[in-house]
Amino acid sequence: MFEKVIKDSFDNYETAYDPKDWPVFESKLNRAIKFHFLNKIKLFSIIGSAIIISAVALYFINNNLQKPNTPLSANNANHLSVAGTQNHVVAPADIKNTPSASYNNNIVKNNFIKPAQTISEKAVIEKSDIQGNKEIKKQENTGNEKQETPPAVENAKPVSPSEPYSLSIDASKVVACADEEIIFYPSVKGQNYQYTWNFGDDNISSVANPSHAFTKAGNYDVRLTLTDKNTRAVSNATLMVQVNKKPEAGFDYDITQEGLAYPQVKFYDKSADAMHWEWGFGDGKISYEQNPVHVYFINSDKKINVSLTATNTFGCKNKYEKTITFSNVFDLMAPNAFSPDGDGLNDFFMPKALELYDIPFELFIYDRSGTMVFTSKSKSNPWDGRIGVSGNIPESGTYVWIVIIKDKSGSNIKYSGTVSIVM
Amino acid sequence: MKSYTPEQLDEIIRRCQKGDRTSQQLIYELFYGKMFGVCLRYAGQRETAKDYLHDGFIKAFLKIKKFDFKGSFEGWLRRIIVNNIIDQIRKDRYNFVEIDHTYDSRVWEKEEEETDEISDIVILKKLNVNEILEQIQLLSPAYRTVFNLYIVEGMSHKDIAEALNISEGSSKSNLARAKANMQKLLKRYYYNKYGNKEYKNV
Repeated sequence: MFEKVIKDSFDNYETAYDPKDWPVFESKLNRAIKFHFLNKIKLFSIIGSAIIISAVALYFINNNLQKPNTPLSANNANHLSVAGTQNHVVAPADIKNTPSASYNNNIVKNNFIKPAQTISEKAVIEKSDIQGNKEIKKQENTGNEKQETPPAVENAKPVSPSEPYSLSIDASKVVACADEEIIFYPSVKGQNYQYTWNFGDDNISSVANPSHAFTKAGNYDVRLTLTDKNTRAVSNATLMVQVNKKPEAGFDYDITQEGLAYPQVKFYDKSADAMHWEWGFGDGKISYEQNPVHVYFINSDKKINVSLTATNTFGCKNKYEKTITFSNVFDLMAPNAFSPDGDGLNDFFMPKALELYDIPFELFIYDRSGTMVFTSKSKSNPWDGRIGVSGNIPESGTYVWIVIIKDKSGSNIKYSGTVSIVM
Repeated sequence: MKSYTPEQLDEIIRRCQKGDRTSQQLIYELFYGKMFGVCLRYAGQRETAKDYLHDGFIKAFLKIKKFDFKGSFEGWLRRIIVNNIIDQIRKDRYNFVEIDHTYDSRVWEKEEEETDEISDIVILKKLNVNEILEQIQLLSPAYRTVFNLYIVEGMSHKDIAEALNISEGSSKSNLARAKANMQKLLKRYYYNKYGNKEYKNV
């Protein structure tokens, strides 16, 4: 009983985490790993050719002596952000997705990222968006240590070759979407260093601040190998980047036109893996419905580009565009010529549609000089070719007609065309 | 506290196996509390416990490639940490009271019965775990070790004897004395706290 009570009280016993302890442990771990490594070399040298191997070991020892911290130390505060960074990454769309969606999202609820860093990172990324990379580089080179600069950049002062430094990678995003550009920042910068970035997807770069877009979803270990041009000392750092897949975007549509109504288009979402839709109808209007119905206020045949931007649970977007061709948009079926000669054939001008449909309209006829010569509000009052009410004999020529009708919603639809009088 | 899904934890461990520092830090953070709690039980001082913790974690990270995902990672980590502590203790050559192999086990069983169990339990339940831990740390290193291994870790006397390179009888007698001392310590602490003249100056 006594034993059980003691056991029970310790079974779930836990102390609080002390973040200050990690650096102490990390330096011990580095020493241990180095020792472990040297031991392996020793063993190997006994088995293999002693002279050659011990020379190699000597080389390593020398290197390690020069840079005690270099090969294995990796500064954590920055790249700890591995996967959870949606919490501190910029785009608002990304923030939406944090909940449960992405696999690694919740792994790191980073205690280490201070609010100031969050803000600073944001600031820089926004800058880069606006002004491009050059601006960032400038800041780095001047060693600007203001709040605006991201943590990685703060460290980005040239380090003298003999000083130990710790290499780490910071990125504009550590949770990104496929095909999204990510900018990488090394913690150490200077003319004396040669950068080799391996993005983990068979792509490499030798730029100090590379930008890379991963085309496929997955977790990538981005590895930076930094070589000191003077001492040839090499340091490495890795950063895990989570790339989420994009949804597939696509849609179909049906156009319906009834009578005088404007063409109405029913859109059918055919996207895969989407949970949010943004439609751009090409006429300045947008919708967030999955399957919207849209009316185009057009009265002539037109080609219109419609876009659908689908967003998935990761916040990754994909845009699909399609050109919709409107043909046979409601036509007033106005004749282009008539002969008001009193022979009973084509003596009057009235667009055929206005005769067929019982809708209110206004018809205006203009001559070439722009003078209105006739007006009518009724299909029983077609134009007989005479100018004004004075009853002049119709003259041959071309006239412009304008018809204004009101649709169901009460807005004016304007049609126009030309008509010739043939005597 | 943080918690990860089993899949997430496996992924972190896999990254540790590749030597990823960030993942090592995540593991360290995640198990720090529990493992430090374990180390504190075996150490007389906090500094020693820290050393146990650090050395144990280093051993774990160097061996993590061998973790096969079959059992619980926490259990695996804890075993490595406890084994490391045992190694340290063995190196320190604490004075485990060796006893005659003919020592009649009935004698210490009788000793056990004689202790005032009910009041011990009342005391235990009134104290919090940190207070109990403080009392464990006051035990002699040898008693403390056997007490921990047997009572908290649940090892058999045979295994303890093997691990510490002592005899089984020695393990038993050390445990009996450890328990007796522990009960005294708890009582003393309890009565110092809540007042009882009889135990004040034990």
